[in-house]
Amino acid sequence: MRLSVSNLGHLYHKGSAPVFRCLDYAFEPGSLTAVTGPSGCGKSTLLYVLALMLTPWEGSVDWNGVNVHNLTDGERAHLRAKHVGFVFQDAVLDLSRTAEDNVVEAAWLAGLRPEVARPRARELMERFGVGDMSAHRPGEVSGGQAQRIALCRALVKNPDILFADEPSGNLDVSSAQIVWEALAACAAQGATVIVATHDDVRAAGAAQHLRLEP
Amino acid sequence: MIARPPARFFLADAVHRFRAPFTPTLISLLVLAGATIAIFATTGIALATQQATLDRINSPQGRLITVADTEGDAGFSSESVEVIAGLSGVDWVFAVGPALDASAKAIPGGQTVPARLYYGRLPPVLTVATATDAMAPGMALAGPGVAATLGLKDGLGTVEAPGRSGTVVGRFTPGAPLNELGADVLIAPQGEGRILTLWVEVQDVSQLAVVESGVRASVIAAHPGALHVDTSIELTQLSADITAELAKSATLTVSALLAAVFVLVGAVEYARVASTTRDIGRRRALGATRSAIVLGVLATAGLSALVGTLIGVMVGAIVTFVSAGTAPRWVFCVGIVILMVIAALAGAVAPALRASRLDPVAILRVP
Repeated sequence: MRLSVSNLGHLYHKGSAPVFRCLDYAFEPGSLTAVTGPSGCGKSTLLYVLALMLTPWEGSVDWNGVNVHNLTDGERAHLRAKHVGFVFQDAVLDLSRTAEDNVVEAAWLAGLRPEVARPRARELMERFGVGDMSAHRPGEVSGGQAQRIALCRALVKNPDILFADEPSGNLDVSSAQIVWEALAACAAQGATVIVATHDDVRAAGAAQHLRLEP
Repeated sequence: MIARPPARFFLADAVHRFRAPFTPTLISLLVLAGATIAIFATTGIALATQQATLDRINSPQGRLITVADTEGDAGFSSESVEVIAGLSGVDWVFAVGPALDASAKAIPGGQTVPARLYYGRLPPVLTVATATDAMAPGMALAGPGVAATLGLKDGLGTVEAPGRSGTVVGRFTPGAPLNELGADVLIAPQGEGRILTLWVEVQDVSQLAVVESGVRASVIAAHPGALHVDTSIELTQLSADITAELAKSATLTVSALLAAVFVLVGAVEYARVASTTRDIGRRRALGATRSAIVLGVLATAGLSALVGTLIGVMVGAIVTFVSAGTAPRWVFCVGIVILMVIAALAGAVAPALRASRLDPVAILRVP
């Protein structure tokens, strides 16, 4: 799915300084875009706007040419459920559910039947080395494992667009490597992958690179 | 195509939220169970007692109208029986004349028993055992043990009283309210005669007042003012008054408890939402619609309310049974469950709407 933004700007409160403004950019399908910039430049905010969790102050966000911010809240939620995978900076898992149930939850919200969702969740968890953790709760796994579980949750519905907000910021080298390889593989399969990161080395290897300035 | 989570997702999620976090669930269970038990301990017991009273009033004894010529000088005619039997709401009418001393014809100077002419069809409260299909004039029935007292062989034979005679063709066993006839011989009369006591059984106690008026207007007697009409109508009226008072009191009690459930469940669900904002934000970010969030909160509240109320109903039914000696009607139990769940769901609406309006970015964003 091709994402493009036009004259995009956002501020959190009327009268406050804009987080970013006059942004024009196109995120191509099948490519991994690294969004970089110093802290406070609006990397995470841009991802939330692109993922339809925030309504921009000005400008438009188009998904395959459709201005998605003109849609209703319910329609945007359905688009998020069906087409968007999101890896948050700190995993954001449900502490009261098992790792597998955390992954399956996203599939259910996407409308997948449990008999489809569970095998897919287990397959992904095996692939990312957290298969043994499926019955564990998030409080019983390490940060790296939690982030890999969050990655499985983002991938379980085969998203057309995958966002990752500093996905390796808190991880050791090997866990970070696994996450980045997964993001690249997702892009290679045709998804539009957009990653906010401080890691200039990784960003340099990305197919597209958007640098935000304060 | 729009993605929608399957219905069982909400059910499974409600069951999960029921268990974790359990503190709000426990409070909700206690509130619902406590309120339900309170309803049973007040309204339930009152209704059960009232129902038992109504059942007693609506017994054959309670539905009875007795017209008696106590002094024997009213000229109370047996023609009254046919007229009263034609009144609407009358179940049966039965009357007897004055008692005559009767003895077995075959045993001159033998033991005597009271014999009475009877009028009207034999009522169902008289259990009759006879080989005869219908009682013809002059046929008689003996009460329990009366035939033996008279010395009738095989319980059958002719009895004679001054100016009357009858052939005993079987026996009868009286039930309430005709137990007083148990020592008598009842003789089917030839034609009309004078009666002393007339009983009218009304079909339903609610018709008692109307039928009583009809009976008073229908009696055929030379001096109707000398007749004494006796009913349990005052008791019925008293019961109706008590019922009305109980209904008012029950409505007030139940309304107050439902309002308490509404407020307390609302507070509990607010607390539950406040303690799970991160989960709600995560779910919104993953694509849950606002309506899905509302449904999730309501499903959890509804499940807690249902379980709490069912616990309350079970305990309340036992309390009612122990206190009033009778179990509450199932309609009352089902009604309470429905009302409680509705009150709880209504209380959970505001927290559910608040949950649906939470901003996922504000919740999930890492500073």
